[in-house]
Amino acid sequence: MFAYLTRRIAYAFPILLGVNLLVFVLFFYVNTPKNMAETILGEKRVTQEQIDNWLREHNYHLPRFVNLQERFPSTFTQTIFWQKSMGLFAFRFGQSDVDNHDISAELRKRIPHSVALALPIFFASLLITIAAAMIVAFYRATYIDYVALVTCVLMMSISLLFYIIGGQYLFAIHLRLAPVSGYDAQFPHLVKFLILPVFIGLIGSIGGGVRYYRTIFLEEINKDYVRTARAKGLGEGTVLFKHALRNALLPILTNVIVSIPFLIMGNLLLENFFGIPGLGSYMIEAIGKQDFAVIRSMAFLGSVLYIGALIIVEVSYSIADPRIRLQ
Amino acid sequence: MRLNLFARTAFCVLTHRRIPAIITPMELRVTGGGRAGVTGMALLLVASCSNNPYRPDETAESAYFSTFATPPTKLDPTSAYYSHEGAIIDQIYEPPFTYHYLKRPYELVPMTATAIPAPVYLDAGGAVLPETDATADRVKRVQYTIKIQPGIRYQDHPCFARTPDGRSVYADAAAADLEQYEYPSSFPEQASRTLKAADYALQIRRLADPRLASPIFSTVARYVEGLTELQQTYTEMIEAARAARREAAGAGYNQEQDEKANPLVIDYMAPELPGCVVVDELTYRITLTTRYPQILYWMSMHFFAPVPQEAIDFYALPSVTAAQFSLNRCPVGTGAYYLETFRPNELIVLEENPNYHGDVYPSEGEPGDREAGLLVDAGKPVPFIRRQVYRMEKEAIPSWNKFLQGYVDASGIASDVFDQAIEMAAGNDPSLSPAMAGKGMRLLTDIRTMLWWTAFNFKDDVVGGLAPERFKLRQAISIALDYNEHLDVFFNGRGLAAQGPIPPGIYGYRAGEAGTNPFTDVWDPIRAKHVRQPIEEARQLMVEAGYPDGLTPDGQPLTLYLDHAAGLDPQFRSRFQWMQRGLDRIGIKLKERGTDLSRFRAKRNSGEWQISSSGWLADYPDPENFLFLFYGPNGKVDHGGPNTCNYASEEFDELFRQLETMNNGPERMALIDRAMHVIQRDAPAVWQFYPVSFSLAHQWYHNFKPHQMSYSTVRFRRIDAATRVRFQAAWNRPRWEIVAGALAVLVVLGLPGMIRVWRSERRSA
Amino acid sequence: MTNLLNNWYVKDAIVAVVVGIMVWIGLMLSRREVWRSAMRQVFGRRIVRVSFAILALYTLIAVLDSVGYHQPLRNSDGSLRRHPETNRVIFDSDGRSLLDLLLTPLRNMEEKTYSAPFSATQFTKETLYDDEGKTTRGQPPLKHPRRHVLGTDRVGNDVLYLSLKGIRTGMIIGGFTTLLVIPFAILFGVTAGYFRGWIDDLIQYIYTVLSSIPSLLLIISFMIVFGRGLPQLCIIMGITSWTGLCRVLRGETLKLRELEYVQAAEAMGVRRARIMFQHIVPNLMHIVLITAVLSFSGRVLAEAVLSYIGIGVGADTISWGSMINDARQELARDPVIWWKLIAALVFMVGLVLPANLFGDALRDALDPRLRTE
Repeated sequence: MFAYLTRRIAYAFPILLGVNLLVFVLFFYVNTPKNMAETILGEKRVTQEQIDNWLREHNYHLPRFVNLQERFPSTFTQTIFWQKSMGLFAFRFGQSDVDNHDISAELRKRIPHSVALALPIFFASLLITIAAAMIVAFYRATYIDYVALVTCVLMMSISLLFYIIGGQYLFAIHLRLAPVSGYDAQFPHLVKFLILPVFIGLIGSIGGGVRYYRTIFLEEINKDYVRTARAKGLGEGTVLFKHALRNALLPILTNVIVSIPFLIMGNLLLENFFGIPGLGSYMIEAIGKQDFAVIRSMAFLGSVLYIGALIIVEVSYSIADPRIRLQ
Repeated sequence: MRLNLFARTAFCVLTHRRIPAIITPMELRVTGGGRAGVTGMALLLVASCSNNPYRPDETAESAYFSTFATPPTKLDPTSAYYSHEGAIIDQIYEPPFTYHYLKRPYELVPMTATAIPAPVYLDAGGAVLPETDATADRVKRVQYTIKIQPGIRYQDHPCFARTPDGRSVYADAAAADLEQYEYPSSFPEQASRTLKAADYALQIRRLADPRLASPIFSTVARYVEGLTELQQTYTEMIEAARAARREAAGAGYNQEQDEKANPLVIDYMAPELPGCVVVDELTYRITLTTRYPQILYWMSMHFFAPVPQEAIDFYALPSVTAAQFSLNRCPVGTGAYYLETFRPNELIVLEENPNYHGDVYPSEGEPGDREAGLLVDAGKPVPFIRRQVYRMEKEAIPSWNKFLQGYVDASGIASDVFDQAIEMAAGNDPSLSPAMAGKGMRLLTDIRTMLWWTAFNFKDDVVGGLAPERFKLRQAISIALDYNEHLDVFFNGRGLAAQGPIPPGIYGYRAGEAGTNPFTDVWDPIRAKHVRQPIEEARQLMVEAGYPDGLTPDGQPLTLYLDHAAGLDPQFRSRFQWMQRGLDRIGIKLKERGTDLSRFRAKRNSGEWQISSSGWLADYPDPENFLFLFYGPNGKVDHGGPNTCNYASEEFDELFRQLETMNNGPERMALIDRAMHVIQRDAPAVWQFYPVSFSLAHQWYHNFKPHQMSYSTVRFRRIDAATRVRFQAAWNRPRWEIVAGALAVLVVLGLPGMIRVWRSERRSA
Repeated sequence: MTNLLNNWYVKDAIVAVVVGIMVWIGLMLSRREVWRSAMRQVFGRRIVRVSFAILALYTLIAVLDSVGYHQPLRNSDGSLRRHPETNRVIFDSDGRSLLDLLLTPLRNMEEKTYSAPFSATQFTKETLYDDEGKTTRGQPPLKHPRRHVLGTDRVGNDVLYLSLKGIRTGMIIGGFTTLLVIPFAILFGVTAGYFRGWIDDLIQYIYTVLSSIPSLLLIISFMIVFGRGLPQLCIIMGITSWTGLCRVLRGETLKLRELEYVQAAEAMGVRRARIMFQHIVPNLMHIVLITAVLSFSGRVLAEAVLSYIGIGVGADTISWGSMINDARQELARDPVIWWKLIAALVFMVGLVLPANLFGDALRDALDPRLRTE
């Protein structure tokens, strides 16, 4: 187990290096630091000296991979790649290109806000979708199943943007039940600001969720052990809730773990529309300002979380199902 | 009444009581499970349902509530340049002068100075020249001596807190100790000190720090004696210190991270700066190398505000840096307000500065101010508002809705809600719609000192150049793009179709028929506004330009390209289509070439673009601030200047040089008129329009008069909090009855189906 | 490359190829009895037939909108314009599509600005001047009163026309991207699963790297760097989405290669490429088809979100995403301008809903694990 974990984590490094290289190439070859400087310094009254100074201040004046003016090992360390990208492996995200804020500190501040929004959505939707999916699976091939399915597909086919715009209009402006937008991190005040985004997020995720879990349940229902259970004369309800649900837990668990990165990385649209200062709006702001240091860091953080989630999935599989061995 | 935790918080929220700050673990355990917890949670949810975006009772204080759309990134007075940054720091930092709150045209008044200084002109020998002899060729030095008022004190700030032996209290603090404070305003040790002339001198030197990249450095350095050399010296000092650090650290040295953790401090005051000398404790002298009366306008901006050396030393302490405090995020000033909370993506709070030197509300304004109730508070000490709360609101619409709900005290009007808010009565006089007026709102309009134009690139082979057929093409395009219609379609007519580069409110602007651009417009006495010449004129001009019916010699329609970086603007497509249609009338095909901002800049720098749209907001109320955008030696491609058109006409340049630093008067007016004629004929740009801003204020928001030049005006405004609370409650009662009705309908509709399912279930079982 | 892709003729060629491939796949599959019976099952349900018909209609419109031609220019007297020297007829440099030709009346019904569906007057008020110079504030009459079924937008375009033009954009984003993805996913997935060893490691490495970057960030970075535009959007959406299908195909191939008939073929010395493409790939086609149809709808929806962030298709391309994006401001007006949002929404749902229903039906029929008795 331990050996497996070690190897698995060691294997993550080349992947992260690949991520780093890809993002680096995208931002430093296709788009040069000079372009970046011009974007960030703004429109009015910018001179060439200011651009040069800016590059100098942010270490972007260095060569990209190999610095031939330096002696080894500075040949490799005094380069943009080393100074900007290698630090990510130690979770040293450095500072923003635009206003020099410390990215790690900002991430620490923002992650709780993102989680505060994403967690209620996630658990409420998990609960509702699984329950609904079981009911739909129970009534499979009847008109309830049919109507539910079409409703789900319809709900999925409507863009989240529409739910947000419509929700704000209906609940905040017309019914006056929730603030149009805003945020207050302190607990009881927080509730007021989260009600509407959580509700909208929930509506947006139900359609896909019910359909997904229905598939999982149907898959289980068609397995041999369920047939056996049914042949024993067990009621359909018992079969579904006792046998199928227990066996469906594994894919559900997988889904939960795989969702962790998304919980932390935040919900782009909801955060932006409701003014919740989480990672999702951080990303949008960084894109708007072309703050590549932040975009790099977010890409790296996302990859780390994703790979971490994959490892956890594998480990939890082996715990839940002894037939799967870690090799 | 025994309630569990959730129910109790819900109760507090419902009844607008303060929530107990501390929740004991005991209570948490009690509410751990059970039906009571669920009920409590539900109660809390229901009780929380209110559209009030603030905490209960927050709006009952004498506080001003507003929103901001873009997070400010730079609060250092050296580098902040955007209006959303100015809106914050101009209330904190006090330059020596400012603009009068009520008078128009804008007039400078002292802020911390005792008076507006008069320039002293010196010739080559150092002798004083009288104003009449002070021609550009004889003047070698210009001196301004500024005296500041005694006894002005800074806000309380930890940087001034000293131990008995004179060291900073926080000199030895650990980063972990400081990280517990969100902002310097919550540090336990605070102190203040009086303002000195040296603080002004320090800030002027900071403009030359290459690391701070001050946006006005290149402009100011052309005039202030020795500033360019000072930057050179600073650069050398910094490079030397950096080289030493790198030498000591070895190959893995990361300059950016090292300087973040351990800032590189240079002694700003060490080198000489002849252009700025401290005369005594309260007096300093600025020396310019040429005549430049506009320097006083620059000196009324935050770039020339005082910064204490203590603040610079404080923010260089490693522990303070590690806790993420810096002058760029945490300003230290003498203004009427200080920054209490700064979460750039969420919330900005300014509090009244208890050490404020005080100011009184002006007792005279422009005609009409007294009738508008703007002089009621004349002579009273300011500020009236104790606290300013700005909440982030990225989208314009939520912001507007919060205004309608009374949660924001004043608002601009987006063009999409214009018809809701405003009714244009006969004669184009805007007035509030009955719905808005019924809410007791007030409407304020103000022509902005701003210009939008569509630039032609003079480096382009098709649209550029000074030859007659080229300027005829540009004039034809100008006529085809009817900006009166543009204003109607996109801005509800809120603006004046521009006739040239100088907007109203700036010296040199001519209103009415006299200001007509003779090449593209005519004066319509019926509508009392400028309208474009008939499209036939444009077609004729196209013939003269060599494109009859818009056709090139080989029979293809002339195709032009609009270069832009408007990827993020959802309205761009509509605007582009509008332009396409306009140009279609003279047979020109318009296509777009969109890129991101950085590539757009690169195109501009190299001159590889054809047509693009630009705007300029006045830095200060002087025509030079607009005409310099078209001055040849300011060309973008050849000189890296702000003249993006690369327009270079010797005739215009000569006139500009003459009028640039001249005092306002008939002589200057005549030169401006001539320059305007030249530039209107050459048409280096389509003059689009001067926007008019419409603002709305709630009835409880007093003394509100829009100001284009200064942001330090909130101190003059007043809030009647009791009225506000009353109306907020009246306008925002939750409509539970509709929710209940909808639920009832749902149940009634759903019931038959449920019963059927239940029955069929029973049958099958 | 982007210039090449923006060129009208290349687009025509792509459309021809895409349609050709679809027809070819259909013909290929219809020859196999398994598929024919599956299709009979799929089309046995009415809702699937309806969905298919709607999808076919959308496809038809998209194809019509993709077949371009150049109109000859005419002089003001209506005669054909000719080059002054060569005397050749001059064609408009901008292409038109067959759909444009069909919709000419709609296209030419331009107004100044907003008008509500079937309205006779403009939606916004304007200062009106009569001959004596007296001014009133009112709604001027439209040039084409009561003819705009879905109203007009801010610059007076007919919204029905815009919505119909959006079909092609949606179909390209959904369909073209899918077709771009499939060959790569099949090639890499099957190769990795069949050969295993270092090839497998390498391919796994590539797709793990690509899929571990949050796809939205990758899309955004790509679009910032390469600029906005339909081709760029399709390419980057393809890059971020082939990994999922590839992973599934690899897993399935791993299973298939152990089956007896593959083992037998190998023992008989059949060439490996032949085994891959004759024995393995056809048995994966149902997965490919299901994924293709279901991911199609996801992409159409994603375009709306990307447009909101400002990195969707360029300003010269009409898309539902940009229509929804415009509608954000329009919804805040009072009275509300709802028709543009509703039009985009209905047209979008009209494409995504049938695609999803069709995909579901396909899955039910082709995935034996899911048969619901």
